Amino acid sequence: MGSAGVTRVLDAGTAGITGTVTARGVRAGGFARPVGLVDRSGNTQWQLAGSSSAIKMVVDSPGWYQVSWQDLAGAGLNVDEASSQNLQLYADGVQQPMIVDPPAGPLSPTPSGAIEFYGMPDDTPSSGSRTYWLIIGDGPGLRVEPSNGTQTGPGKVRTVAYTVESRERTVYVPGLLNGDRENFFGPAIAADPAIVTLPADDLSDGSGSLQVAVQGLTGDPFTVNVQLNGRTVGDLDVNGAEWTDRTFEIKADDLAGGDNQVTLTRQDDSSVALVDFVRLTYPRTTSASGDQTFLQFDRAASGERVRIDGLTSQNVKVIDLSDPSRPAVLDATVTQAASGFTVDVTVPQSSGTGGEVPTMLVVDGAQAPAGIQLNSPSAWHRSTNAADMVIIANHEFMSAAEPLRAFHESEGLKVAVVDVQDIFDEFSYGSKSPHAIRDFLSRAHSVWSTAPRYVLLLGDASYDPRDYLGYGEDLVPTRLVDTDELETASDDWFADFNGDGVPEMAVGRIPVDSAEEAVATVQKIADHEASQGPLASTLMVADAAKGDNFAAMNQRIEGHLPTGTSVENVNVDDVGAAAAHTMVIDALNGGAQLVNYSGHGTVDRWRGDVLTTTDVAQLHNQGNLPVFTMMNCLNGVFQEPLLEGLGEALIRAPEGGAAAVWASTGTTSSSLQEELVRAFYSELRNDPSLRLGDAARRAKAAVNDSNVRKTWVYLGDPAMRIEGAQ
Amino acid sequence: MVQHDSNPRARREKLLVREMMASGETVVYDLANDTAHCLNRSVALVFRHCDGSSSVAEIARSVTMELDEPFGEELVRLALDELGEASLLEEWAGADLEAGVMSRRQALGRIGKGALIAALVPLITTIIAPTPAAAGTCLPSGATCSSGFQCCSGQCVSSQCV
Repeated sequence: MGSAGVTRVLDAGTAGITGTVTARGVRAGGFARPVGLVDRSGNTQWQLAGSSSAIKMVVDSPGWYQVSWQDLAGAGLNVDEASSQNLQLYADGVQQPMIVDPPAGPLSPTPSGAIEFYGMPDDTPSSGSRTYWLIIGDGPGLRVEPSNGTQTGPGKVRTVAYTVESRERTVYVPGLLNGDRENFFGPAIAADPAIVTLPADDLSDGSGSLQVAVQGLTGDPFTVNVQLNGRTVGDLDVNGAEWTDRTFEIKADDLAGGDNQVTLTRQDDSSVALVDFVRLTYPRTTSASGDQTFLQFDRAASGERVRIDGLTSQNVKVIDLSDPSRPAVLDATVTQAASGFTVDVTVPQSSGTGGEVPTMLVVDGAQAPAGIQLNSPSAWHRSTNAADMVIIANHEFMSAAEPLRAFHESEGLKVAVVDVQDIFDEFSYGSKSPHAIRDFLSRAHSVWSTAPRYVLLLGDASYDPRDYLGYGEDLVPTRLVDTDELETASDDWFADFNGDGVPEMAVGRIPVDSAEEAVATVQKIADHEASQGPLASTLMVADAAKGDNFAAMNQRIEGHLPTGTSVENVNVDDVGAAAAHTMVIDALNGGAQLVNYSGHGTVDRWRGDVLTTTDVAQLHNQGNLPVFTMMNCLNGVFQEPLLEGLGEALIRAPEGGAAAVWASTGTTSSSLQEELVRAFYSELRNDPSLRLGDAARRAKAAVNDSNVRKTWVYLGDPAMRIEGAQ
Repeated sequence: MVQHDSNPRARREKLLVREMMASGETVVYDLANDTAHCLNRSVALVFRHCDGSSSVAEIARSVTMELDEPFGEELVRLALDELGEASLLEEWAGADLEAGVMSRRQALGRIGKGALIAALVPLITTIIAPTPAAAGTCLPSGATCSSGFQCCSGQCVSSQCV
């Protein structure tokens, strides 16, 4: 049995191994993108997105894909018009090679045919899938070529180094400031050890390695003991709240066939860390593992014959993936064995152009895309577009936007309602990405014949866009940014084209989670805007003075309120929290049109429970929806699927609540918040006809603090005014 | 008869300890009774050196070096007294001798006044850790949480703020 030169195997087929990142799963890792290039010009992608006959195929795990003509025709491909040699496949705006059966001629007489291609998903904080676009082109498309193998004979290489990885995503840590890297991790190493299970089947002789990566959360350096199947393989020193990894050598004797348990135990009583990933590389026979087996070899193995057994079909394909942008079908000799089939094949030569290593994919059975659908054509990149306001909606909420579109058009604004998926298709090749929304708005700002001034995001967002936690994907993404203290949502980032923290367009969001909620909430706000009268009553609520004198802040702000409004003050220091709570509910139900809170708070409440999300059910102020400014911490949070924010609860309240809420998704100082809100009201005092999104934008320009600029979000319609016609 | 250590030893069981880098303070959350203690820098250093093998004199020398200010045995004893009252020390043989320890007022009088000097006097502030339902501000280390946004650290792991 030979093993010379073989170093590594990456797997996507072991039982239970899906090849994708899952909340609780094991995956293969380390593969390069399938495409060598990304078309940054946008031209090719805009043609694809504009095609009414393109088929979109969503791939969410790496592997060899097969799609039949029936499925393509069922999705809407017009096979009667298609000549198979002109079929073209694209990803990231770049044509990808595929196998087409039949390779030439009309498709309609051959319903049994199919296309096949190597698919690789995105792996970004926003997306774990990639869209492949199939079109009928004007000329022949790229095809997977056969590899010119000349060697024959039985394979000698029978052992490879094989890697499996556990990358659980169960804990989100907003308090970790790590830039664009995601803040999700796996199990905790705390009072109880973290236990990670990795499968190791078809063990062979030799040594391997165990790589452990953790994110420290506590300040002091500490040590994590690493055990494999109950035996210590070493210690991992963690330098406080930092990401750390270490690779330990292991022997085949350390491993057990089947599940292997890695136990990570802190060596002190107080430190806390989270597991990022655990990666096990072990000596393994070259047996096939499930339908698709990835094999990666040392360069020295190039040209050697390898034997793969354990196959179930004689129709096996072996694909050379050394350069994943140019897969090739390897010559393979298939032999019937006592049990199943074996295949002998020559390890491919590394092309050496991009540091690639010889890699092959043994396909015992192809997989199907996670989704196939006909493209809905769009052309939002074109300069001929024009709108004063853009409503970017989740596809399911498009029709719900109609009342606001109609209202604003009735007052002279031109409104475009845009499916957020169209933006992804045109600006990120079909994959979900907040950058696509920003790129779209930037282009609209610079080339549309009428540049939008108002942007309404219709749909909730989540810090978990890949839905690791299983609470559902976000519907219209937000941008997660680092502030001084935590990572949080920033919607104004979408329109901050020059990076100064002040958006060039007024951005608002209605964070609804269902079509029914979208219909009800948009109608509620549109009705309010159509019927609101002059501003007559304002409620100013001040928390107990604790470090800051919040009542004094309110007094200073009061001098900047629009003229003509009465003001009711509720000061917790004067009446106590319980009475303040009652007075606030009464004032809201009594018709307060403007509400300012100065004080402390957290996601779902004002301090002392003066107002909480559970109070929202008591509000029946549908006829007099107020605008809230909340000068505290975190009331603007809408991206937390586990805890409803006070701002979003008020906006979504079915029988009242709020028409708009301006609040922070982060923690900002009270003095800066006062400065911001004072500027906001000064703008409205100077021009009561100003739209609220414009007032918020100008107020941010008046406060030179990046945390305030990033984290204050406007929940509601940014084109709304503070009062109706006099 | 129970044998106690002859030197002070900090309790480690059922405690979560978090150092605040900016202030030098340490927050100790006592899981046994949902109580959080904020240790100022000097008492935090004493707490750290209570390893059961260091004598009061040795602790005084260590703290003096780390503070770069004189920190005598009397102040160590005051810190030990405060730690003991907060149930952050294991039983130890010298605990009974702490009955006559000087007060904070005496300590201030002994070493002088002024903000810098006062900061050297061991001080533990104890609060009952709020639950999320009661909190209007962030939750301390060890408090029960359902979201990292509720925690002062921004970290909620296994339903507890880190």
